[in-house]
Amino acid sequence: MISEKIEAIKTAVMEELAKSEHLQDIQDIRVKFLGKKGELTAIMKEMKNLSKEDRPKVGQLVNTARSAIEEQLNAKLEEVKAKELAAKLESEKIDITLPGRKPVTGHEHPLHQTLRLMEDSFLRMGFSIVEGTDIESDYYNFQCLNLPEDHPARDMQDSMYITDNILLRTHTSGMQARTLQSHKPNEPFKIIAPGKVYRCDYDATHSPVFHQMEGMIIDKNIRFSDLKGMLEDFLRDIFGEDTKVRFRASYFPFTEPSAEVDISCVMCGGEGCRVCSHTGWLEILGCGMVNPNVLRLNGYDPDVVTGFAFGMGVERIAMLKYGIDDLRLFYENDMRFLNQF
Amino acid sequence: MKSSLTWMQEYVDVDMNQDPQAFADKLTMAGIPVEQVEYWGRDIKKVMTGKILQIDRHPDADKLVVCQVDMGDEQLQIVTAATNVRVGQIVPVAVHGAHLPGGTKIKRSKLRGVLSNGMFCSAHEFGFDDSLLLPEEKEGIWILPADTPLGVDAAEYMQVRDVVYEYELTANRADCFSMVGLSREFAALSGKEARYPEISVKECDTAIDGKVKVSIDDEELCSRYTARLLLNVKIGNSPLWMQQRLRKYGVRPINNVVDATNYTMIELGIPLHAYDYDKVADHHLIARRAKDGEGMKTLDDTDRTLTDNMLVIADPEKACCIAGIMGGLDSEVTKDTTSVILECASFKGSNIRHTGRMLGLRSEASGRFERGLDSDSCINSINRCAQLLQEMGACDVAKGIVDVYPNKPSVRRIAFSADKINAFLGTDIPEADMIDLLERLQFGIEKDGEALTAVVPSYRGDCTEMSDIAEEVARIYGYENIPSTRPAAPISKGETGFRHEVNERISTILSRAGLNETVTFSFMHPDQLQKLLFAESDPVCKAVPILNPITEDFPLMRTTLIPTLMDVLVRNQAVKNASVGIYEIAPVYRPKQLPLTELPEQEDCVAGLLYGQRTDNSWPGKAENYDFYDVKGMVEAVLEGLGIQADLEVSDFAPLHPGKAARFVKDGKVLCDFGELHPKAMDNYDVAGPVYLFEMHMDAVMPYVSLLPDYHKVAKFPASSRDLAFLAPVGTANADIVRVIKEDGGDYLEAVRLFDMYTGKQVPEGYKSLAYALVFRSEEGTLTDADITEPVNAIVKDLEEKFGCQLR
Repeated sequence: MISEKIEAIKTAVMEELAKSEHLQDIQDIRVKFLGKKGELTAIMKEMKNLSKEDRPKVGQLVNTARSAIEEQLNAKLEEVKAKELAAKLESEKIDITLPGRKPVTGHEHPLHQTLRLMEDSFLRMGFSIVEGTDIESDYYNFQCLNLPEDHPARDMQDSMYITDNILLRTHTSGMQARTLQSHKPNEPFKIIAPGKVYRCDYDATHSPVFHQMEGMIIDKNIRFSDLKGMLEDFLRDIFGEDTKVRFRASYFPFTEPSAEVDISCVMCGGEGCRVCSHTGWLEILGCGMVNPNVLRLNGYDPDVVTGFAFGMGVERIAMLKYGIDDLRLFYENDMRFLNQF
Repeated sequence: MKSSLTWMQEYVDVDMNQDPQAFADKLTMAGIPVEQVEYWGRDIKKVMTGKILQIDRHPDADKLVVCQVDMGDEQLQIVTAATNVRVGQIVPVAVHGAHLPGGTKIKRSKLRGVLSNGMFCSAHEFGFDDSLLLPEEKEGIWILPADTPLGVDAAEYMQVRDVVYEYELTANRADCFSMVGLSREFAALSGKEARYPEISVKECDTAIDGKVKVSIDDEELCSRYTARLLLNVKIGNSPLWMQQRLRKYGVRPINNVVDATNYTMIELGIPLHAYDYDKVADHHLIARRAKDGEGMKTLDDTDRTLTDNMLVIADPEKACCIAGIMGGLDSEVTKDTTSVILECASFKGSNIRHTGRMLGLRSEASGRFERGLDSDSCINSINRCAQLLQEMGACDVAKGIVDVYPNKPSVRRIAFSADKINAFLGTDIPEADMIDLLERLQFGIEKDGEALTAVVPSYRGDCTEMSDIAEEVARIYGYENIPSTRPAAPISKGETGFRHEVNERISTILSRAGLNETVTFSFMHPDQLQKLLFAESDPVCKAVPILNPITEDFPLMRTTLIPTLMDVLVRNQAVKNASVGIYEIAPVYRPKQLPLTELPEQEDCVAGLLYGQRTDNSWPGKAENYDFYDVKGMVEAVLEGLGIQADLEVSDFAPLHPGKAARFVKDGKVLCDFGELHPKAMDNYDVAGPVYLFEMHMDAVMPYVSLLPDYHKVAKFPASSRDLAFLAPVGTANADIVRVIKEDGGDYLEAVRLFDMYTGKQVPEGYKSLAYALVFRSEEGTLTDADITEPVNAIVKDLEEKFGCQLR
């Protein structure tokens, strides 16, 4: 009798569970059959009416049934929970293609960024940064650098003058003379001098204000081959390991021997294109062994120390590095330009 | 400078089978830069010489004629529209199958029904432009010399085919502005011998003595003057070979005398000048300074006024020539000239350049003198020119040369050794190779054991010491063959410098804060200062003027960065960039006195400008306009980043709105002004919305900078917070309230933060609601309510008594 009742309860539980969809339904079933006033519990309560012999048997039957029902309830519970979670996740789905909230940041000028790259490269090689003033005396800008009074580079059309003896520096080389003079004679040093320089040239490819970085190393036994090695390192640092570098004989009043340095074209890799005028090469900097006269003029003895010096335009390097084809963009400061760096 | 390779054959064996570009590159690498390689006549094929036998009218066209042409082995009919053809002339004929420059191909065809087997060519079709042609050659068909053989390749016969190098020579290589000079480089780089032309003059019996007199008044400006006398001069055209060589150089043939002087100049590098003997008073030439204001008419038919800084060649009555630059019209060689004084002299380069610049005159000759020429070569040059004219039958050459050479320079000798040069270059070049290479450049070498001496040729004025010899060795040996090494010197530490580091820090702060960095010119204009409302007495208006400014817009060196930032704003507005947030770190220049007697002070400034929207209207954010508190926040962020605490004051910076202007000061020095642009200035610039500006003075800031963060231990015990909201009279300054809170807050007050400000509903008229969050903390333990009650009560009481603030 009782066992039939128990079987009936089990069947009823299964039927009801099959119909239930929500957590609450399962909870209700649990209460209805297993709760204090539940149907299975009721059977337990009737046990006191049974004989002593029957009690354990029935008790076992009920307990077994209870476990089975619990198991089914739990299984169903898991199933419903999983379904509800899936539904919740589905309902919370957002449009991930909507724009992100970007932090507002500004941009440092491409010339500044280029200059920093260049400075960092030389700092790593042990060069120190020295900076002079934009307005410089004729003495430091020209005379100390082996540019005697009647040198063509001194012509009025090239330089902007303040007085006969004071001008806007035409290169940062004045710092070479100043640095030589600030040291004890023949004391070694390595410097770079970045900064603004000024020339009387103003058209599509010339700016009256532009940026240069010059450098100088003085020590015992500095060789032309050292000049080649260090500048190759620098240029590969800036333009990449695969950059080819060539040195062409040239002339500058402050150096002897002098060289113009070309790199393989950054646009075509040396194949020849419009940017390199189909030569495969781009002129990038001028350099040379410090002219003995420059050393003598600034209190050094060319028989004791030698050195090399170099100079390059920051704009040119920035243009090649970023692929900018118009010099004027640097000074127009259009937000659409600046925002890209 | 240009050089024809066929002409070059006279001085060195040029391998004409090699790729001309490859050898040009070799020259370039060795410091003789070839800018361009021109291929003359390369594209001309099957253009033959022919003689016009008969000319008939075209039956159906008025403007055409039909010519029968003797091509040597055949006769061709050619139809032409040219009007300068005559029977008996020899002309270039592009026959069927001919190629012309530019890809034109000539085919047999009918012109208005009459067969033409090709076409006649003009000189232009051979690549000559008008500037290189004689007047009669510019129009119509090119009429060839009467002795031209028939049926031969015209480009070949007319000596058109050639390869021409155009050089961009450096200022130190005056010696390379000539065929012989370049031939030495060709020889050194190709391992050949250079040949100097054989110069010998066949003189006639008449002597120059007593017929020509020369004096040098100014030996500094004229170091040598040589003259020859040419008699029985017959002015005419120079021979074809000379004309064609001149043309390939880029010089137009004029007449035999002028052509010969030009030819000699190109060949040997030394300019010459020819005077009509009969137009030189007393036949006496004097090298003297011009008198101030002295006038003369030059060859280009222009009246020139001279100064006493200029050298002229004069006869006793008048100036005949501006030395080294241009001859005078009066003494010019004309077709009636029968006797010529030929001049070859040496003038001071810097003086020629100065004179040329003052007069706005440059010529082939002056360009050479400017670079400094070898006075030793004058005799060879004047003899060469006389030889050429005599050989072409243009004159007789009088016996002897007048040569005034007061200070002959001594031969320069440079001591060196192969070891020293190798140590300097970082190479390992054997001594014998060095000697060979220098000898090919025609340096004399004297050897005494290890010690070597280079005897410098007179034309190598650029070589003065061992480093110059090292350069010659290096460039001919090849820079590409020198190894790449690192200095053997000990490693040094690269120093950035504090100023540089501080500027970098500021740039990082401002760019992270959303501003773009600008780079602008260092100039300004007084009008800009006026637009920004600076009074004339303001120190900003005392600026360094530039003597020769690049344009009228930039007469002054800037004393403030604000004008250029405003210009950037205006330019961005013009291209419809709605928002501009920018900063610049750059120096300004302050004269100690004007006009300058010493270098001005240069101070770094940091300036910024905010205009439009801080963030634009794009989801998920929304548009927010810049306001005063943005510019203030930027300045505060910079000062905080530099570890500086400063006092806030009202600012009287001229460009700012007086009610929205502030500044940070420390120890009485202004660190930074900031605020909103004055409405009047806004009108002056025609900008619509408010503009916020700041300008920081780094000389004042630098002494206080600390780049190390001010570190405090992280607190162990929890904080107690109190929020206090007050109704404060509208005029009460936040800073005053905060100061009282800090004074009364006691030892435990850690921080005060304004978290709300409100006026409107529920706030009585004349009041504003200010809400502050106070944070109290002890390092010894957790605070109780009692610890805080006392200071809070004191704050409330004090604020009520001092400012009439009511706790809400």
